[in-house]
Amino acid sequence: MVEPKILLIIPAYNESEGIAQVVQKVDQYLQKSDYRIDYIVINDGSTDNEEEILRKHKINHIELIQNLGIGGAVQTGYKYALERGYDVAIQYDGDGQHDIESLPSLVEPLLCGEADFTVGSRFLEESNSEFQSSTTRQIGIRILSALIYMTSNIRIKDVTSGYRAANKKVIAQFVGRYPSQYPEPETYMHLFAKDIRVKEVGVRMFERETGTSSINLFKGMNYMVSVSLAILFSAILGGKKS
Amino acid sequence: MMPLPLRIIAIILAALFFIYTIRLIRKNIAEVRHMLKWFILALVILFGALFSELASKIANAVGVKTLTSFALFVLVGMLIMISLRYQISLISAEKQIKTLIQEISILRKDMKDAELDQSEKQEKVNQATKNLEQNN
Repeated sequence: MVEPKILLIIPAYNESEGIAQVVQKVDQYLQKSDYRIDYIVINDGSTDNEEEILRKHKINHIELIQNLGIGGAVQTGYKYALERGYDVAIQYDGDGQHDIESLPSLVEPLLCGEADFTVGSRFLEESNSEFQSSTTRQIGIRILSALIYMTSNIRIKDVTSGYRAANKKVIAQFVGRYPSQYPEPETYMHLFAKDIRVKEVGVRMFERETGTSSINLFKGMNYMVSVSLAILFSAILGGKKS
Repeated sequence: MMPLPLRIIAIILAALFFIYTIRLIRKNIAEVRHMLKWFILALVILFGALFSELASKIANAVGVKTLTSFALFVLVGMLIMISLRYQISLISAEKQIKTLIQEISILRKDMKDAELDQSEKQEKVNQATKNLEQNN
């Protein structure tokens, strides 16, 4: 049997401080891993010296000529994966929040044909994640999770998790359509509309090592309103599934 | 019935509007297809000003008492439609730009990789030639 090709998509914006360490950890893991994995860092038009760091350390990367935001950056990774015939694409944050050791939990269900898309969750019992995010964020996540459940009858606990893996079918779908802003929760609605089998698996996450989150109180409120509306509209337009 | 000074102002405005849009097309700033909706808007204003009695009848028929209120309603409606059309074109342009940025960035990466491969190969050839020369 042909070994499946796996691509790790690492979007990074102004992560010059920590990107080299993140990639180093990935490299160390890849050396001992049984999977055939490549990685690609997507430098989302960073304004710091991230590009310089990536070149200096000879890190495989794409430099976006303009900042596209997280959605556009991740979608570039999916395009790259599709063009190069990868079987699985994994989103992996460039800020050191995701534990690379949890990667098999995301990949195995896809390789076994158990699911088309997996989501790494901090909130499942099987997760050994000590980091659970702030209380306000957890409330927000619960509200969005409830909204997705009400509109689709499918429970995703960690709706904002960016540690996710997609098979070829989903890679092609994301190349065609991927929200540019706050993409994670909305994409579930697009996936459910196409009968994609989504499985949530327990993973470990850490508090971000470098940089700061782009979401403050005002942005957080804007996030909740935008994402809730996006979920509701997608549910109405995509048709409620039982 | 629309008051005469208002009719005159409306006719002047519509005429200026026509002249301005034609100027934009002549100067190659815009194409006819871009200006079509503005021509229609100017025509509506002109129609209301020149045939205000007929316009008043239409206003009465739809239950609006004064022509000025009706004109305002129609023009605001048209402007909302035009704004919506513009937002759609803007979204479409945004998507096209995003795709272009992604494709160009991937191509640039491929180009850089190819250049790197080429220089590595060249280096190996140079090294091999050097070794051969030394052996000879």
